[in-house]
Amino acid sequence: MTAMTDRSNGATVPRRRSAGAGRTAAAPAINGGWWKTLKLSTAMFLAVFALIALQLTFGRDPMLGTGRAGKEAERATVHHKLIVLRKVIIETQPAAPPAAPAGSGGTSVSQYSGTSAAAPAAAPTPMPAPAPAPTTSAS
Amino acid sequence: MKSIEIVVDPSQHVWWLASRASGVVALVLLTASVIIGLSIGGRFAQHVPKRLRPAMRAEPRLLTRAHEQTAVAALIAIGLHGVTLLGDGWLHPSPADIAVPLMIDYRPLFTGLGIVGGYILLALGLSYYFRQRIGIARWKRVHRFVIAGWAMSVLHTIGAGTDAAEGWLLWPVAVSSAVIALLYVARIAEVGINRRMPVAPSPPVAPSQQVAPSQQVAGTASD
Repeated sequence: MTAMTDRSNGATVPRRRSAGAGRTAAAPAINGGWWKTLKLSTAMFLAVFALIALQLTFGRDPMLGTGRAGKEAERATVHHKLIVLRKVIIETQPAAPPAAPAGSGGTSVSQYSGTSAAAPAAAPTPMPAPAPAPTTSAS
Repeated sequence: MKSIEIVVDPSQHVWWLASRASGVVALVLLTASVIIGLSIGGRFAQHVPKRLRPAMRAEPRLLTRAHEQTAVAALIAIGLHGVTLLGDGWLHPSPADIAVPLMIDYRPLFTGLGIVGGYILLALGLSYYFRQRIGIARWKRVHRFVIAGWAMSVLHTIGAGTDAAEGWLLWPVAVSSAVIALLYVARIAEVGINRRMPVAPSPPVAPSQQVAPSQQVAGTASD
């Protein structure tokens, strides 16, 4: 409650509370400073968050490829390894099982195809040796 | 094997990104608070730049308030840094992992330094509000050890921080660390000089022979 002072003409004028009345003149500055700090901190947080999110999105994050940077990174890396491994397996495995020599009987052929007439010449693998001509079993 | 550039969806790593961002903000605020704190009092306060003098006259405790506000904001950011780690889908830390030093498997030494440093900052920072009960002189002696908490935070950043090797973080950390080291050494030296040479009451000097306080200071870091 503010005190009232009397003017010489009898009019009363509310007296402003002094700083020594238990409330410092710097009180608004305290609140303003806290708000400024909060806003600045929030702005910094959002800026850094955006920066490292972009860094991660465009493949510049220091943790990429280490397995730390998410399951996508791990899956992609493992997938890539599987692709390479499959390629290695295909290129290094024997092209085709060796063809049965002529006269040895068609039983070996029949084991695969069930008929003596089936010839391994239909196999897609390139073989330097010519495919044996289908022969009837000579037993 | 040739590495392939991977495009990662950042929305899958919000907790991890939030922890990193809050850690960076905590370090920035803490560093600013320490620099302001080292500048308060002593001979540095007499060498306020001309640009700041009107603000200092209007708000004599401007630096003190800025020191307090940045320190409290840093403590909040440190808390956020730890809590957001709980949601990290890769690290999967438990509350004990982020609260107890050396419990977590990920770089336990440097992570532990960060946890201990955080506790030091929390205790010594909040002790400001209990300084009347502690005793002002005793509180001032204890508050100086906040620098240890700051140093632990820097080591935690370098040793366990994801972005420690990034230039945008490493250079500011290096420069600010050098500034803090210089300020700290200067303050220690000043305190040592004041203790060895107590000021004796000088005889009265005629007004025409009085020298301004700023001209009495020699060899300070701020000159």
